[in-house]
Amino acid sequence: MATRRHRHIGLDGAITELPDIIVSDEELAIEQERQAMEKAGELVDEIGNINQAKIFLKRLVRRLIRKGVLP
Amino acid sequence: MGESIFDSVGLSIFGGVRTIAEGRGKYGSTTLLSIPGYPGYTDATIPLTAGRIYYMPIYVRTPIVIDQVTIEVTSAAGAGEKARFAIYAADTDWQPGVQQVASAEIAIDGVAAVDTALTETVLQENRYLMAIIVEGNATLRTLRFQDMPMGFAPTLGATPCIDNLYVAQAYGALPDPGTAWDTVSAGSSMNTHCCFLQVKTP
Repeated sequence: MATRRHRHIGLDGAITELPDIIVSDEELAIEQERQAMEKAGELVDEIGNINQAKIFLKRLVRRLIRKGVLP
Repeated sequence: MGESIFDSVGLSIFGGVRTIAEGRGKYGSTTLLSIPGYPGYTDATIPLTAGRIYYMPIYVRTPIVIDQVTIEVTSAAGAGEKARFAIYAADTDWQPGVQQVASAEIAIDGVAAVDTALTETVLQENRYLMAIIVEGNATLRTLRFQDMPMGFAPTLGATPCIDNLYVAQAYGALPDPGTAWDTVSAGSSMNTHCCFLQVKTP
């Protein structure tokens, strides 16, 4: 179990520290799983971008060879 | 009978009952695609970059009174750094107009859930944009959903969902009327919503 800090800001900007919010083990587990999924998603996006870049470069090289720019 | 007529301000008259046009996102000469009424959400976090006003579209269906906005800081900004929040009425291009309410500065220099009082404000049935700007980079809890047909990237592709609307602006009081957003980011999730309202009177 963990806690989350809780603050209140009034209309005048005054900050009041409220009692911590208790975070259950279940919520902690969900949060960790979500962070892992987000990281996995970032990696998939990165791999997707790398693959797209590879395809683009291959097409570019073929085009340059056909035009005689590359041997 | 049952014929829809749109008047000059984007309202429709259907069977004698006036409703507010849903509108669709548009910036500059770019019109976003839409699928009317498509909802859905996922939860995540959003890293906010300082020097931008981020906008979050919402549609209020019946008059409500709000008195608080809550954010959860999951990755804090620098010591003493703050954020500002406001709500604007939105036109049918989902661009901001008159400011409805603005908060005091919100401390974002600690990981915490932060409740910030708002002057009690009536939001009538209308399109609105919630706006937030941060003094230093911070990450906030977010839900991603699209309650109204805000729009999709005109080029579609694997990442067609508009997740962020923003405009560059130095940190300071949020302007009235609002500054038009001119940049979108698209992804595979929907609009970012990191500001949560307390409805005092539904």
